Amino acid sequence: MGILEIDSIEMSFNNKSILNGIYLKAETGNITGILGSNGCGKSTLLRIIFGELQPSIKSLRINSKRFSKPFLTSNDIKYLPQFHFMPKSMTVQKAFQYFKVAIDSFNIIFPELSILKNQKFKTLSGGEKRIIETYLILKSPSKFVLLDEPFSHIAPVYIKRIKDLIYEEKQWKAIVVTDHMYKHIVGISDNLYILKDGWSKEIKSLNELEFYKYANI
Amino acid sequence: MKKTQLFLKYYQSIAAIPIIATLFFGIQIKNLGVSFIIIALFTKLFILLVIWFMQWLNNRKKEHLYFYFNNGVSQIELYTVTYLIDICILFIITFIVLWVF
Repeated sequence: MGILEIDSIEMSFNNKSILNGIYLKAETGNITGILGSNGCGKSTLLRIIFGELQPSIKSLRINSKRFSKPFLTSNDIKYLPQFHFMPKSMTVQKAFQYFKVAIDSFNIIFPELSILKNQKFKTLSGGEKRIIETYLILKSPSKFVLLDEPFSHIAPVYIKRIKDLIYEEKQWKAIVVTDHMYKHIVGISDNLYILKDGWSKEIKSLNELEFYKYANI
Repeated sequence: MKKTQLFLKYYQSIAAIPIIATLFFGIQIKNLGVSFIIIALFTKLFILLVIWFMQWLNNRKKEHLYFYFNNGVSQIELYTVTYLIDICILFIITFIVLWVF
């Protein structure tokens, strides 16, 4: 079991405050969704949790204990950034070895992509890269998973399979996910937060998305 | 073991220029004497800093580093160990140039 909580973040870029009133909680067995308009700080928040970005102030707690060093060095967390991050010269099979993930299970879930195992990432399409990267991040051993736009540039048939994978992995992991395809996020999330004007608010009813001018339901 | 592989993988991605520089300094050390090694060390540090600065300029989002982050390696660890690997390679090549040739 793992409970991750973060609050008291103060983060600004070029004297413009991006985050200032955040509280977010994610726990094993739950999918935590984050919604918000472009530029509201969703990716910034995930990068801060991951430990790659250092705000002037933050309070990150794991199972109620304060965690001050960059979280990524603990190996307990995996983060799918918005962009492709695998080295271009690496083969798909090698990437599975680095992330300690069995390629056979991947071939069963995505049989259409099994032919790619000996190919290098630079030869794959954007969608193929995205599916493999998302799969590796989800399946790699960890306690916490942060997914930034896992459904972007992916065909609907694969989105369904990735959602099934997220459901499966939440049994052992705390998963935080954000995407502009908000219906998917709303559909899979157990807890939902919206980010607006630097603060976060837990959403209890979908009407609140309209109230905060995020979407027309 | 996995971390060592990751460090070597990263070094591989930037190795061309530092290794050419190492060969150059190895030959210079042979010609100018072992005292030249201090100049070689500082020049190699400078070359690595320029490579990292160029990478930072071209890729401020650090896209190429997230593979390492996701495998538990921080940026400071990556850069420090890469520098140490580079210095080791300088000494090994210098040794080979001085004693073998």
